[in-house]
Amino acid sequence: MVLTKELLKLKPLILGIDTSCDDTSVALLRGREVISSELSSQTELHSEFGGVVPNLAKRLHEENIQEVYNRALKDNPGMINNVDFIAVTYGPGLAIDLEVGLKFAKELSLRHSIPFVPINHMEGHMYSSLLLNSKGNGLVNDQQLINSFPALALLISGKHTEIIYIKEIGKYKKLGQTLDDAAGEAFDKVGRLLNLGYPGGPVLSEFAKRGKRGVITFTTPMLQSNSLDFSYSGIKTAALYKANELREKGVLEREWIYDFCRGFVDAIIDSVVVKLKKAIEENSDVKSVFVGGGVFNNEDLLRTVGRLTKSYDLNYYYPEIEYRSDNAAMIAIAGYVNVLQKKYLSKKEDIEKIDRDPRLSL
Amino acid sequence: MKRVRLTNSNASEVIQQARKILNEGGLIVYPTETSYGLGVDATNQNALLKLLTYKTFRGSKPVSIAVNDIQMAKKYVHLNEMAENIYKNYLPGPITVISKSLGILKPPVVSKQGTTGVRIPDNKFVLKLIKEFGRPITATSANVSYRSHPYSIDQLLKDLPQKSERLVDLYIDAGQLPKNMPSTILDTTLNTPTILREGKIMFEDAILQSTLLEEKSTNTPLETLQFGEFFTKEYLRDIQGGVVVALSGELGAGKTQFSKGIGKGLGSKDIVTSPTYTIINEYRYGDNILAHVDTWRIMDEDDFHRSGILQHLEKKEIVVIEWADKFYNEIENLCRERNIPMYKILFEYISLERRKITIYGTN
Repeated sequence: MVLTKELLKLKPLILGIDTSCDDTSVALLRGREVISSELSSQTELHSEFGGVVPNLAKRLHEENIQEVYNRALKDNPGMINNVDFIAVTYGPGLAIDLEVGLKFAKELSLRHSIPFVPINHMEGHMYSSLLLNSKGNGLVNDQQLINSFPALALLISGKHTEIIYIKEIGKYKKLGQTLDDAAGEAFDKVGRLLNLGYPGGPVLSEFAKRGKRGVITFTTPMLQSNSLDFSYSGIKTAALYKANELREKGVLEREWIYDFCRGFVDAIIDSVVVKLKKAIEENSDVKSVFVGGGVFNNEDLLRTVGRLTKSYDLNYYYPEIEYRSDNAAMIAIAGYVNVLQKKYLSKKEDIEKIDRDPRLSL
Repeated sequence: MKRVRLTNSNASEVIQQARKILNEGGLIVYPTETSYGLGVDATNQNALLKLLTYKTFRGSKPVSIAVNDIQMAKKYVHLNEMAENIYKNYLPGPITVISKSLGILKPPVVSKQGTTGVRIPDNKFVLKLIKEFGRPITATSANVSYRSHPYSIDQLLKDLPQKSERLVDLYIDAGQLPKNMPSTILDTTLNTPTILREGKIMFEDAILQSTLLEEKSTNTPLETLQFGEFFTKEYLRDIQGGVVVALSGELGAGKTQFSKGIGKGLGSKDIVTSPTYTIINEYRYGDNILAHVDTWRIMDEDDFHRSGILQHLEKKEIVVIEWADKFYNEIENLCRERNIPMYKILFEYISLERRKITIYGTN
């Protein structure tokens, strides 16, 4: 549907819930403004250490959800009576994880008679750049947003690597996706084979900053393919062989590791750029590129994609750092976008019918 | 203000002077390969308090420590496999390694999560100082909170509030330092999904007792996929009561490609991708579900049982498990209790492109 200024004046209070990944998260939004956004792993984002998001928390959603919910409501349980909509992820993800959030949201919705918005997690990443801070400030204002479509979404995380064509809000077409590993997964697995532990993303990104470009290189994945699909299993094997070769030569790891990481990160970025470029050229009506997902924590990727969109004179919408990895504020903003389209459920029987869909796709 | 210019000839004297100050709970500003650091005895709570006062507002941010070698680090933190590797290969160097604290150190050199960040600065003077001092010193940048990293004492003094400046007992001035970026922080306490060795041995034992059904060398990912398709048509087609296909092999050895072949062989139209992050992917074929499991990120037996594998087995679905060796004991028990047959498939590297794939039947 087409957005209008009138429509965007609506500022409902939306509760967002996500249990589709390792972290349990709950957030509260007023329109696009984040009032609270809480995670089960209370990471100290800006601390000297202890600030890396644990990608591998134990999945303890059932144990966590009440407490995270309380925090999101700022320990004021009465606040739920002011909530206008409850948005919750129903897919994709691990069935058993999704069930926890869905059950919790349904109970809240029915007990307090609050309309219910089932959300695709990927639609959350797609609109994560539209979140505003509590003062109402952010990257995209209402007027820009209205003029943003058609657009492309580039979503890259540990689980997903995909390009979506957004004709208008609510109308999506997947143009390409990974055929094997997601880009974030390739980071983690290569981190593992370099003995740099897990998760590999932050380490490889940091080490790449210390490396020289072009000293150790990898073939750009899927360069020869005509599709908009991605593939990262080949580069994993190439990295394993390259590392073994260097080790066998007896070169000290500290002599090559930084250049190795630089080369690896550059190949991944290049693979993304090649496909995005192709998608832009094949869809010349697009006005904007929305990006989302934890792999955009890599600043080189974020900036390189930014430069590309600029060269095509497109709007570039990317989320703030705290909304790149999985979080519930983005589920609430997707909820907002659905509410604008009047896509929500109020009847008890309709709400009860919603089931988790582990393989949900845009 | 005590400011001493560090030269090639006075290093030992400066070290003696700094040692004395540290021993008395004093505060020094010292050069590292990244920027000027602020040092106090990391085991002295009064000295640490002084450091926090110097830094002005810090919230709950923990402070890293500097040691002179891995032996000293091991007295204060637990080094796991990843940490050992980093110490061995990359230190001394501009990396702060976070490990579980052993309980000797106290906040602020321990975080809320019970971890401590440790550095071995790549600076001969500092290493010698710490060695002679015999204990770790703090390794935080000498700037006060929200100010830029200082690369010279003059620059530092320009930004420094009087209150902080008065607390310093000695500035060790090594001139203008190269503008290297701050140390990279590596957290080694996030779980490292390693193969549980016990499971791997059990898997290998089980293979020895199983019937060898097929063996093939493949030269491309496509051939691996086709072999998966062949296996499905040959062995899975008439299965009614559910089956487990247990896959074992290194990163990139072809497990996901083979799984793609299984999906194709069953007639699924869904794109089979790696389930590493989701843990379980589900694909439709006809009215059935193919469950594609990956244990790579599963931490322990509890987490394994929590993942929902059991539900898929109870629905008598075909369950393909990557990294099955990691939880072989659990998988075998589940199969035995429910009388579910299991195929074990081993993926081995022969070269960059070539793989050897061996299929074994039930024991």
